[in-house]
Amino acid sequence: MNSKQLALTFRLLGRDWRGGELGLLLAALVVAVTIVVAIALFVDRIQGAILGESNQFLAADRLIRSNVAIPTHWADIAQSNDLRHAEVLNFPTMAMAGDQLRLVAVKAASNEYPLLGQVTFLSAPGGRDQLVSGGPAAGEVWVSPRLLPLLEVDIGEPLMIGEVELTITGLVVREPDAGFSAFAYGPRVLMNLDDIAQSGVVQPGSRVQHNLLVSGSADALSSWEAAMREQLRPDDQLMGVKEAQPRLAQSIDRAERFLLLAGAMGVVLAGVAIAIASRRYTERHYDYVGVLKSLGATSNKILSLYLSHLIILCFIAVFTGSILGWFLHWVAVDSVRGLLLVDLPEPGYAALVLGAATAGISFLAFACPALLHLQKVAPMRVLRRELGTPDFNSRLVLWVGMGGLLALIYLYSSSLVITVSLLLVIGLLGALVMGLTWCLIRIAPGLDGRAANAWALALAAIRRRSRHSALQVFVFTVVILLVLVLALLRNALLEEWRLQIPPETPNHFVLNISPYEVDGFVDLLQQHGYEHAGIYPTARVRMSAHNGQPLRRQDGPASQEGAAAPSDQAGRSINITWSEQLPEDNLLIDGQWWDDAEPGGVSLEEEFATRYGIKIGDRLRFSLADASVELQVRNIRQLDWERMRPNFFVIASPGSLEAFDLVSMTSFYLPPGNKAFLNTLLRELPTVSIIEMDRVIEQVTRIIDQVSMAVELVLLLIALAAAIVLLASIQTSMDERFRDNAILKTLGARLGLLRQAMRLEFAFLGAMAGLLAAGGAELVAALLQTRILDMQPQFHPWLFLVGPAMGAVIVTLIGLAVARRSLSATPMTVLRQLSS
Amino acid sequence: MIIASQLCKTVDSHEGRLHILQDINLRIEAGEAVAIVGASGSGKTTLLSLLAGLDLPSSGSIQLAGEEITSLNEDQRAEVRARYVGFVFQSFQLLPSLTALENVMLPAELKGLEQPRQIAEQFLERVGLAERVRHYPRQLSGGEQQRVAIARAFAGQAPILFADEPTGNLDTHTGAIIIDLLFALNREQGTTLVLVTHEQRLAQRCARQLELSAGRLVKDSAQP
Ligand SMILES: Nc1ncnc2c1ncn2[C@@H]1O[C@H](COP(=O)(O)OP(=O)(O)OP(=O)(O)O)[C@@H](O)[C@H]1O
Ligand SMILES: [Mg+2]
Repeated sequence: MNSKQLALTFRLLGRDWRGGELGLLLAALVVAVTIVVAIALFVDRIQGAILGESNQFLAADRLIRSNVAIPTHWADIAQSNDLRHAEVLNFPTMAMAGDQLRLVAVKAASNEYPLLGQVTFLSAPGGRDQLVSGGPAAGEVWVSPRLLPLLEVDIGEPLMIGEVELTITGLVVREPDAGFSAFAYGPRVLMNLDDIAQSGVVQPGSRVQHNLLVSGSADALSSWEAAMREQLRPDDQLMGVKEAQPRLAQSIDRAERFLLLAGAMGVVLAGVAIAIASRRYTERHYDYVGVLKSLGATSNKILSLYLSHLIILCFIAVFTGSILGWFLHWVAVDSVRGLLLVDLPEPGYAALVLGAATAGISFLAFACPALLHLQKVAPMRVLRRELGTPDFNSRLVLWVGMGGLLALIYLYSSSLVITVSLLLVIGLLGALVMGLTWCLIRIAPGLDGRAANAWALALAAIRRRSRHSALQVFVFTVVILLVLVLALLRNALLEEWRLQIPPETPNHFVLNISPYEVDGFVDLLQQHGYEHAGIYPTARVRMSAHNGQPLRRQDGPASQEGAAAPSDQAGRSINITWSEQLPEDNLLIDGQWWDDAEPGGVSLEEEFATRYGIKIGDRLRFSLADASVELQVRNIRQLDWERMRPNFFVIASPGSLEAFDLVSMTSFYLPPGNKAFLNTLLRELPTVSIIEMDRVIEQVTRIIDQVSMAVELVLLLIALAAAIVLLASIQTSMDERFRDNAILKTLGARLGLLRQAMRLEFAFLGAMAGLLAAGGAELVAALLQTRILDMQPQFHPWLFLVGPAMGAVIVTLIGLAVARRSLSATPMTVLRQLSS
Repeated sequence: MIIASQLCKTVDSHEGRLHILQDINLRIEAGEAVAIVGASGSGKTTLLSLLAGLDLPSSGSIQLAGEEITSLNEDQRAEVRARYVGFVFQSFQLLPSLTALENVMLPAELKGLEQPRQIAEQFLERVGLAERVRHYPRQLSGGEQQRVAIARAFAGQAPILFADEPTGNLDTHTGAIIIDLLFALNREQGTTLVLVTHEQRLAQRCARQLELSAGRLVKDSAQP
């Protein structure tokens, strides 16, 4: 292309701009790029932040946990993989101050601890929380505030841990990995790893949990993991946040998938907007091309002219969209910043590339077919309009458009399931809408007789623009569908998260309540106005034989049960309890629950039974020290692991556990700030153990709040995009509306009647779209819930009321806002414009 | 300049085959002014579109400035049009998003002529619209729009000018002005004029009249 032609191209582009269609097309492209860039940036950074925060659960990115000492060369492996590392020991021991003795939960950490997150520290009781990035120095110790009154000590005084005397230099309120390691019996004591040797508390065979913590880049982590896999001994566990907090990890995972889905839907919306705008642009340019051709322009010339227009447009769109998207993501990020404890990671440039790719693909898939079409306009058009309109190869356009959508959604979500299910449903809806509209137009009995009736006018308008009406209903349907799906998923996610940790979830677990202490304990709780969540008499037993076959020790189940169960690797033993009734939220899936007290029965959890190949009628022997009992499996249960409450793999029928000394466990909700009650409790019942879950619950709640906020914000963005698409789509019918209304007005139709007719037309189209969208949304949401989000699908009958109502109201509002001009214009101005 | 032989145009419609033009033979020399007349629906516009290479006949051949356009493809015909043909359409066909000046500049720009603006301004002045160059078609009256269309037709500086009912939308007075203009330009530039009209006065000013009836050439004043 020489400079003269280039100049002409720009000159024609400039003139074209005034026509208005180019503006709409540009706006659609800009919106596409903006949405993609904004959502990609936002998701990227929030994901990073949430992951960062959830990694603090470990105070590291990964950790290796073992019951035996960590080999010293493992630290070198971490170092050679460019990872920072720290070592942490957890163990229960007796702390002594003066003549006072207490069971405490010690965490002995090397100087690098914590690798991620910070320790909340108090220099004196009643002081202000401080965040520090390390633990106490050698010779010093920080303790839980409630240990001071228990041991009758103060800051600055000595505390004996084993053989070593340490000085209490501060109070530890919270460690980043509190939620993960606080499954300890007693108040926290945080000391330096260097003092361990001198203390002599860690001996071969003592109950110590050894942890190697590492942190670093994702690449370094994965190569380290690969190297470590070969080194791990059978008892070692390598964990990331997913293994450490499976429920939380699942929530985050779902949120990530939701955001990706939302992004993919944003892309679909943007694609639709671009397709609409190109189509309109093309239609508006038939005459233009006809004249150019009659003046001797060849198809090649026309093609290169319009292509260069669109390429210029694309560049402008990528540029503006990127800036707008960046800005939008800042606004969004700013509003969640307060919720985040960690710094947001730097925004990545991948989002910008994605934005540009979106513009490119949209351009190729949605705008190019329309353009190629444009070059086929015959010059005869200038003489006989109807002859010059080339056949729109709508099937080709459809395939190319679908291909483009596929590429975009896949590019965005990298999930074949999302891509295919979205496309399938959209295709299905398309067919349905076309069919329905066709029926409406062909079969609906003519109301044409009473032309002065607004309904008749509305119906006539819909029929007159039948193809266009069908297309519009389709677009409305897709838009409403996407928003409904996102809203449904959002509700389902939030509801599930809310259920996971309802307000006043029991946040303290009390173990080891002796039978004679139970009544006193219940009274004490009642006096202070707290409620326990059921008392479970339990014993920690070993499953020693299955149908008479003895089981070796390591064959026993790993202890994973109970939200509050200590993840105790030392004894491969299980908690057993007995119950008269099937516990709440347990679901009997096989066999019969025992009706009355008949000893000798046992009930198993489904997965537990499958793992060990146990069936109904099998005999299981459970042993504790010298006592043992054989029970017969009566039924299999399903548990709701999503809830924070004691859960048992194994429940015996009443009277079956007489042979064992049972101790009870329970849980209760302790409001924040009432921690002193724990000391009262321990004074009254010195032998019970308390597990404090409040920190974990608090942390999980906060992360879920962040995730919910992100979900809400993205939904808002998508709704915004949807509104823009609706606007663009309604805009496309404006020309015809202008003309129709002008003609009707010259024929004497009153303004009120026209307005009423238009309102009815929009309401009707909107309601129809809403109804279809409701059905589609149920389908898509169910598909995505089962396939992507790993959730139970639900049916929402109310959707079939809300969908049409919402569709009618929103489409009417936007429609009237856009179409108002077509009503207010005087017939003459309109006719004048149209005749030229 | 234009030679048509054995021209036929048929279209297939719901009611069967429709013969719009049948067996048309004619020859138009350079610099001639020819009027095509006939009743409404007799096929005048169709004939014009064939002669100008905007459409193809069902059978027969057309030579335009020595080129056998019936054997050319659409793009080659576009090039022939660009070189030889200018149009004035019954319905003006001005582009609504362009000003009068820009509309008139278009052919010169597409041909890559030097200084399209000067050419356009010159012709707009000739049609008496020097003051209205910045106006959009919707701001002009029907007659004014027609004059812009004529200015555009001449601005391409094509040797043949086709005009379909150039005065169809105009009152007698304005129509007369436009006719004068057409013939003045025809004289000055030596342009070949082929125009469709049912206005007697305009037809009379052309040296030669062709009359169509039901798709047949029934009278040619050059061959009585
Ligand atoms: N593509 C087509 N399909 C069907 N009929 C056509 C087509 N093109 C032209 N006709 C018919 O051929 C006949 C001649 O049309 P044409 O436009 O040439 O007439 P005309 O002489 O220009 O009439 P008018 O003076 O009204 O402009 C008309 O009856 C028209 O309906
Ligand atoms: Mg005609």
